[in-house]
Parts: sequence; structure tokens; C-alpha cells
Amino acid sequence: MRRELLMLYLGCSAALGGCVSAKVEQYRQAPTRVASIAKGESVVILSRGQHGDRETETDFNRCLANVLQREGLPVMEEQALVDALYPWLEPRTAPLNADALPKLLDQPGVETRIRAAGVRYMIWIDGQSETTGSAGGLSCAVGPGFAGCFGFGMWDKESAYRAEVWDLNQRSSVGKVSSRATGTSYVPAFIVPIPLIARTQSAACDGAAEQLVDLVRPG
Amino acid sequence: MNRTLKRIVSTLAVLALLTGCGPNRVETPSRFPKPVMQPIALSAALQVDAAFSSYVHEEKLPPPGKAWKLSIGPASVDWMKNLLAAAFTDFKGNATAGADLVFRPVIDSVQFSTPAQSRTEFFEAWIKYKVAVLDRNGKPLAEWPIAAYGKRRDKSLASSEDGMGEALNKAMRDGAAGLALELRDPQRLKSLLNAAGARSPSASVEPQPAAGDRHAS
Repeated sequence: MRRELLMLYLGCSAALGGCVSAKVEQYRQAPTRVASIAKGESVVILSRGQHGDRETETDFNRCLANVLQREGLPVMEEQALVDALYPWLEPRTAPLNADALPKLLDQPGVETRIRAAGVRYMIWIDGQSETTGSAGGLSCAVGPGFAGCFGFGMWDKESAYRAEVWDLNQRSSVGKVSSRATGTSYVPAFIVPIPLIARTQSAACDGAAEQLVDLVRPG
Repeated sequence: MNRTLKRIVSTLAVLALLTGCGPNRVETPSRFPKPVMQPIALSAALQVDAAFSSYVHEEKLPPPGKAWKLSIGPASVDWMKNLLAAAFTDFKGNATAGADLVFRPVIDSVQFSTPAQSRTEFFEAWIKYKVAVLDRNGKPLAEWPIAAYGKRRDKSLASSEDGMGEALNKAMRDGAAGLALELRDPQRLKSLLNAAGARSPSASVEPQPAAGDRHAS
């Protein structure tokens, strides 16, 4: 009986959570013709680490990698390439824009290692998810033979990410994609709290991944 | 049987309390990949004293923060050896006699912050190194300040010690990147040596195949 109640609770949360709105805005700047990725080539998703107070969540990069792999794009693990090119992809030395890419590739030994790894495209991710506002409150109490929560809490979340794709063969940027999702999560509680979560990060990931796949679709 | 059980429980409770009272001890992980460098045709050595190689930073945070004991020295020696071995064709370790260049680092200061302090999701670490470059006669050629910074998100970490250790490891990788930038230009070293008039007859700064290329072939 308890198990059935738990399943019902989780089912309701999932179903209602799906109703919470998330708005995704996509932007793509790319030439009409981009060379498709060839057999044996891969992409790598890299985070910008130059900002002291923020950094793209690994969850987001993992989500992007999963979607790209599902679409047939081989994805090299970020840390493997950062280690292979050590110390030239550390936050201090990584190129900040595509204009600085040739300088990285001309660094002795770097291009050889990139070729050995089979990386064709670098996808640089910048952005994060953050709570932009909250209201309401919940209070929970536990007593002999009783436990429960009462109240209503809500918060707004914004997930904004930008991706820039660099073609290592062409030594230039081939496009930029941005994805922004906003949503409000609610937790009404009458004895049992029911979280209705706006999955803005997941929505932003799906939006960005769709554009990225379109940009470097396997040939 | 009952008495034995009580003893075990009370021993465990005392141990748990003692563990809670002690400082957070962090041994910085010495994980540094092989650097991709174009070796300079010079001999070099690393001269470190005990103060550097066993450097420990101790700090007590204001309540409710805890005390921290961060071991910085051993991993700092490791990253410097790792980088210099890739940057020069003849790295002599700590054997300074006869080396064209001797690198003598000191740790100037260490700072850190925890997510609770900074109200962010990050453990952060700053290490300020000073690297003195000497010629074969011990004459100072240059002193390079290297301010290294690293951070690590606290999510999905087993403990706060792990988080701080990873932040320190990243700071040291950043320090290595800083030193690599100083060593990237062989002509700069050449002019330093020429200015001091201290080059050995055999020394040359002509670029050699990159470390990655040499080992790949």
C-alpha cells in the first residue's frame, strides 16, 4: 500500500512538473555551409573556466554530450583533451576566441596531439543556471505519530548558455548557438509537499543540442 | 556481551567527536599530466628548500568554520619538476651543479575559501609563488611572480577535503600554465643568459621537437 502511494506521489509530481512552463530562446549564427564531421572525427565540449564566480555545470555538458552521442556524433571527454594538451587548455592559457585558435594550434606538439585524438570541432560552453527570485515558504513539523509540511514555496530559475563551435581544420569559428530557458517551480504542501519543478537546464540543453547537431551533423 | 557492545558504541562515539574536533587535513593530489612543451636545449635544475617542499598552510576559519591544514609543498615540487623536465632537454632534478639555469621557487602566500564562506558553490584556492631564475654561478637572472588560482564546485564530492584538494590541484595546474608561458619563448631565456654573460659553451636555445612529439615517435 505504501509503495503504491509513493508511486502515485512520484507520478503526480512528474506529470505536474511537466506542465511547468519553460521558455527556450535559440540563436544561431553560422554560415549556410559547414563541413560535416567525417568518420573517425569527434567533437569535444569544453567549459570556460576563466570566470571566478561561475562555471558551467558539468551536468549541462554531460546532457549535451548525451544528446550529441544519441545523434551519432562521437564526443571526446573534456578532461582527456585538457590533459592531452596540458598546460595549454588551462583557464589561463586556453584561447578566449577563435582568433587566438591558430596560436594554440601552432604551439609545438599541440596540433599533433589533437590529430591523434581525432578532434575536429571544439564546442566552448559558457553560461549557467541560477535562481533569479523566490517567494513563499514551507514549514515542516514532526511529532509523536505525526509528521507533515504546510505552506507554499515558489522560485524562478533561468538557464542561459552560449556555445561557440570551432573547426580545428579550418582554424576558425563556424557558428554560435545560444539557448535560454526560464521557468517557475512550485512546491505546495499540505501534509505532503508536492514539488513541481521547472527543468530549465534540461530545456536549455535540448535547445542548444538541437542547434549544435544541426550545425555539425555527421556526413 | 552487552558490556562489550556498550564499549564499542562509546569508543565509536568518542572517535566521532574527536574527528569532528580536528582540522580538515588536505593532501593536494599530485596529478599532473605530461606537458606539451618544446624543450629548450639547456640544462636546468630545481632548487627547493625544506620550507618549500614541506609547506603546510594552517588557518582557523571564524566560527562556525573549522581549522584547515593544507599540504602544499610536495605537490608543488611535483608540478615544477614535471614542467621543467618537459621544458628543457637536460633536466637535472635537484642537482644544481653545472646546470645552465637553476629555478628556486618560494611560496609567498596561500589563501582559500569554502562555499560556506563565499556563499558560492565553489571551493577556491590561491597560491602565490615566486620563482627565482639563477645562472650556473648562482647569479639572479630574473624573478617571476606566479599567482595561481583554482576552484572546484562542491557538488558530487565525497567530502570538503576532496573539494579543497581538487581546488588546490587546479591552482597548481594554473601555476604550471603560468610558468609554461614564461618558458614559451626560448629567445627570452637566451637574452637573459646573454645579459648575464653566463651561457655555457655547449648551451643553445635552438628549439627541439616538442615533448609530445618526441615521445609519440
